[in-house]
Amino acid sequence: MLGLFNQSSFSGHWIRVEIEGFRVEKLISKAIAEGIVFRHIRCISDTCMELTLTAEDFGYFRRLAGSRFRITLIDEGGVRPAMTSFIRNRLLICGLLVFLLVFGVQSLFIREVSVIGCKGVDENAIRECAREAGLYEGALRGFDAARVKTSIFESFDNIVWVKVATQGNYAEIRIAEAQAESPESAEARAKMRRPCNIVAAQDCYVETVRTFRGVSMVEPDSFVKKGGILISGKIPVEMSTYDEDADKTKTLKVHADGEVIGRVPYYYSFYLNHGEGKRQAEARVREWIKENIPEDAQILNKSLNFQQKENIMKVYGVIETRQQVGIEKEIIFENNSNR
Amino acid sequence: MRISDELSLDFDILSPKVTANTRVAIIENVRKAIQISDTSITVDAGRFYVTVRGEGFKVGELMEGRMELAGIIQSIEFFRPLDQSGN
Repeated sequence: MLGLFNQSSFSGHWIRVEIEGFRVEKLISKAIAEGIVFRHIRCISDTCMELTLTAEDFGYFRRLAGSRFRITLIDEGGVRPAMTSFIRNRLLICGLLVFLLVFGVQSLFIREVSVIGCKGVDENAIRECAREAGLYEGALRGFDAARVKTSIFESFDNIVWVKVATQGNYAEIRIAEAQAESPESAEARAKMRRPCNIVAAQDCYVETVRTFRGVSMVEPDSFVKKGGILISGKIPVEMSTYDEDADKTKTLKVHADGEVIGRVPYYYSFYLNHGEGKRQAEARVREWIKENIPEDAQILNKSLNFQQKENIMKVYGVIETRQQVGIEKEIIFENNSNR
Repeated sequence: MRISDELSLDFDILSPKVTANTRVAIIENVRKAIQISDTSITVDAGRFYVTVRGEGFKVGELMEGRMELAGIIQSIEFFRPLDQSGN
């Protein structure tokens, strides 16, 4: 029988017993010769001893002890008794099952929905829209994310990007809004679309013409009266297709754009008060320049003349400047005109 | 120590082998337990009996001829069986 129970495991099921009788050591010796393993042997008295052995060895050990020794079970432990007592505790098992059921079921639902990225759009409006599409706190996790995204795009014009993601019971809606356009920039954009010509703001001699869009109507060193067209927004277009109107020239109307630099003469004259001289005249000329000539104009030439008239002095002259002379003028469409 | 002595120490299964300090002792080649109490433990180890004396003894494990003993160890004695004491 030696080695019969060598594979026994104390962690599986152990038993602590008290052995009473004479010469307990003889019983222990006999048992260890048969291969029984003992642990934690404690001597209580000359005729009483406590020890621990495996449940598998206990049966054979009792047979070895026979009727000469009294064996009392004090304690037992290990995995098997723990499992047995656990299985016997029906109330505990039921409670555990209910807990697992509740835990498992609640993991099927969305617990929290957060909306990130709202600036101009109301967050509650996004949540309401998502709710109608099937995403809300308490909804099942298997909602249709594509439907939620489509619903948000259809409901809000200024949302350019939407992401709907879930992580466990947590759902997240991330949005990106288009940059809001100010009324001024919207108006400027609308203005840029309207066809127009570049015309002269005042009489001038054209120095340079740089055309960005449209057709240049003047040459450098030409004289243009106020209102004269410098860059035209009407571009003649020849049709290259062979159709009924192939021989007719059509006109494309664009928003003309360009820079026209011209030399503009400014004429001034005034009368000096009694006692005023050249210095005062020059001061008044400078004042006149500040009031009448644009700040970005470059003054090329300045003349100052005096004329005595009876007992009053007249001051007059010309100030020649170089400046931008083009301003936009909208093209008025006539009835039945080619657009 | 000569090699023969060292080899006999490792492979001798007929004599007791004791490894001990003041708190723990391990006795190998145990065949029988002669006396077990909390102050004295005597075992038969083949050619010799081994007695360990002290206080508060607890046998940690006793399996396959190996005994682990814990407590305050005061002395360890080796005895020959009576019929061999004359040699």
